[in-house]
Amino acid sequence: MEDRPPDEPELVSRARRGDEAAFGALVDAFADIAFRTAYLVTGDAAEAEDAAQEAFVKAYRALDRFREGSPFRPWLLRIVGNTARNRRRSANRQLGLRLRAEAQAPVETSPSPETGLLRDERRRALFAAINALPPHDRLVIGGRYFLELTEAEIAALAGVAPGTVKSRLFRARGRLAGALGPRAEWLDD
Amino acid sequence: MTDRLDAALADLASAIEFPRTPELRSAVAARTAEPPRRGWLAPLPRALALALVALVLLATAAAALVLVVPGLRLTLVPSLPTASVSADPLGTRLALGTAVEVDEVAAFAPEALGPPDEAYVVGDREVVSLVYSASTELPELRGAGIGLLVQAIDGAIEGDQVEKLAVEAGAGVTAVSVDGEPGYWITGPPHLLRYIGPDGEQRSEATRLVGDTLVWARDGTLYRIESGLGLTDTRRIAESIRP
Repeated sequence: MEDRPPDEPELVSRARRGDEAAFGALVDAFADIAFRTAYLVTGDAAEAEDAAQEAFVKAYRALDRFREGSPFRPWLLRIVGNTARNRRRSANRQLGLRLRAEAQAPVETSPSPETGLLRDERRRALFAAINALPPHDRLVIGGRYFLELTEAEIAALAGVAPGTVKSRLFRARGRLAGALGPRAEWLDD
Repeated sequence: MTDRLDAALADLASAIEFPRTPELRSAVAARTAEPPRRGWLAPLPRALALALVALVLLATAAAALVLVVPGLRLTLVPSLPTASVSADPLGTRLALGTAVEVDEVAAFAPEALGPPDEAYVVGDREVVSLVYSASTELPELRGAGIGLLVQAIDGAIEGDQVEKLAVEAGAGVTAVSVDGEPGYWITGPPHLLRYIGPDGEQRSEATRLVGDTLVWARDGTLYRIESGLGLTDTRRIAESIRP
């Protein structure tokens, strides 16, 4: 999910000088990742919308503290993550994500009804296992696989040092495999 | 399994449905046009604000003995209670048979020592232990054949999730800094480690070794190293764990 605008440094620079249109262009460019990230944290669309809006407002007012030349997205995602966590009503809320109905899945990924059913079953088992993980594990798994964030962005979102993301992912995957339990035989096929 | 799990997660991602992203630009523009609200501290005169900060710092210093390391409470007790886990506190041995496992374990390994000789996990990797065999550089710890032990205890360290119980008679506890992070250097008799696992259950285990221990927390992980090397060398090894 790389949606970095090609003229990002120029837009950031103009926004820092008070150019509201330039900041508006940044909002458009990063609205999707900001909203989805907030949704990953809050599990609720209305809360995610409020959190994303608030995060952009905070980012606008903090632009003078942004280090010019550095990537904007991790900086923004740190603000989004903090804002969304503060707004989340339940500390242990499960992922609000849904699995797409099979009928809407791309046809080419369903070579046969049997294969499709098996794949759906595995997806549901994996999804349930992710939901059973502690919130900080869900965050790194969701950030890595569902939002395709970089390690630096996951670190910013989770509020940890970039060097620890790999070990956190390692542990989260280990716990995920443990949560799958006997249902994980297919991982050993 | 790691590769298959990766592939399964990538496949799952293709089936995940997010709600439609709302239009944010106009709402953000309307809010940024308003004057910013002042924070609660803003109306306070600077001198009063500084006095408040000083009061907080004084309160923190008073509690420093037990709360120097985030998430860790160190308690000195007359005698140790019985450990709830004592059979094999290091847990299940990892095979270290694949490049992926070696690479992942390396995330906790001090660069000063390189890869461990053995690695263990407790439960769902809530504790990862790296074992280095005794050698001429690493003096053996009480006949266990082990020269140094690195343990990383996972968890978003919030509140006092980890508690160390040390016998007050004979325990030496020194507040130290590890790469800028606060920590303890604990010497003396064995101590008991008690922590709350990701499942919310409290666990306790007697330290199987009786080497001196350096303990510190960084980014939500509590680290401890047991060794017979003394504080200076143990800290040098601790600081070579990649941040």
